This record gives sequence, C-alpha cells and structure tokens, in this order.
Amino acid sequence: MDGLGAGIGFTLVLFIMGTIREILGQGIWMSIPGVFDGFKIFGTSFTESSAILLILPPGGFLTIALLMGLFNYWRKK
Amino acid sequence: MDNLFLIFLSAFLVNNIVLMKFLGLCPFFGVSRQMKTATSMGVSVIFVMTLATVITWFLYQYILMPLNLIYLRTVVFILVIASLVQFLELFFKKQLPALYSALGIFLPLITTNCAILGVAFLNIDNNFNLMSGIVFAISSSLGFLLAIVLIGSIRERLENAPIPEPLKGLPISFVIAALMGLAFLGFSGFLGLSL
Repeated sequence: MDGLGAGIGFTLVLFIMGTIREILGQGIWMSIPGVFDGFKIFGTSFTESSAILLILPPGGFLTIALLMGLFNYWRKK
Repeated sequence: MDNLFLIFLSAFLVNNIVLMKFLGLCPFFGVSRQMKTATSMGVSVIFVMTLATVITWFLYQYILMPLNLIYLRTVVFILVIASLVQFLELFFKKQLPALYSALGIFLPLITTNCAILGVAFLNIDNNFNLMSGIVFAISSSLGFLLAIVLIGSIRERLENAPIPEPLKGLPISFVIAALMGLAFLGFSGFLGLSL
C-alpha cells in the first residue's frame, strides 16, 4: 500500500510538472509527437515567443524547485 | 584523436551528465552538502563508472552479442556495477572508515546510480569502440565530479545566506542546479557540438 501511494504521488507530481512545462513552454497541452497535436491553450502570438527555458533541461530543475517551495509553504501554513 | 577530443568535450561540458541529462541526481543532491563528501563521491563515481563501462563493453561485445543475449543486458550490467560497488565499499570500510560513515547510504546507492548504468548503455547505443568508450566514461564521470564539486562549494556558502523560509534546504539546491544548467547551456554550440 505504501508503494502504491508513493507511485500515485509520483504520477501526480510528474503530471503537474509536465503540465506547467508544456503549457508555459510550448503553449499546448497533452500533445503526443506524431499522434496528437495537443490542445491549444494560448494563441500563436504566445507560441512564437514562449518560454523555451522551461523545455530545456534547466527548466525542469527550476519547476521542481518552485513546486517544492510551494508545497513547503502550504505545509507550514 | 580529434574525434576523442570532441567526445571528451561533449560528455564533459556540453552534455553534462547531471545537468543536461538528469542522470545521477540522488548523490548529486544527497551528498553535496559538504565539499569533502562531494569530492569523494565524485572520485568514487569516476572509479566505478570507468571500470563498469570497460567491463560491460567487453561483456556486451564478446558474450552477449555472439550468444544473442542482448535482452539480458540490463541484468548483466547491474550485476557488474553491484559487484564493483561491493568492492569499493569493502575498501572504504577498511581504509577510510570516516569517509565510509560520512557517505552513509549513498555509497551502496552508487549501485543504482542511473548515471553509471546510463553511461554503460549510452556507450553501447552510440556504437563506441573501446577507446572512445573509455574516453566517454572518464569524461562523463569528470563532468559529474565537476558538477558535484561546484554545487558542493555553492551549498557550503549558502549555509549563512538569507534564503526564503519555504525554499530552505533541497528546493534552493534545485534552483542552483537550474542556474548551473543555464550556465552549462552556454557551452552548447561550442565547436559545433549540440545538445
């Protein structure tokens, strides 16, 4: 049961991180390359100048750092 | 010769194994609180990674490939790495007991350090020959050492820095890693090497 909980938590965190990075980085959501283009969240004016940083490797570190900070903040409150 | 130098630069700086490929993150954040443990972790990773890559290369080329047992490579490689780490652990316990207790759980955890298995696999996926493989393993592990020493020294200085309360501890280390990753991104495109 502990393993199941950890697995579900991991899935949730991955889902949140993927959502943040994909929406802010590319302006689309849930795209699968070659299969599905994804939902367009923002218009083309956004996708032309999106935050490429979040797609690149350092963006992952930054996202998880801010997520952890956010969770710590909520826990303390 | 030229090619070997490019492999070295690519694995050492441009495709740094920790900052660009997210391999080997648990020792990277786990033992980087002090310079001394960080350095010794880096050096032990150099040792294990180089030996493991050489041994797995021979096993793959001369045993697994001819016998058509490629699907067994994960198991075989993990066994090789685990026995190397066992050897290292015995050595540390006997010769450097202080370091042994400082590294704690992270010493046996080199066994499942994804960086080492990852480099062994990348070595085979890239069809490197023995010499390029050795250079690749050494430069990857040097890149790991560089990254862990840099973050260790930054984290030592952070002890006295005013950090926002929720970011204290691990989150700020991730922010540092992100900034280091950005700095290392500056190397991409260097001599025509890409990510």
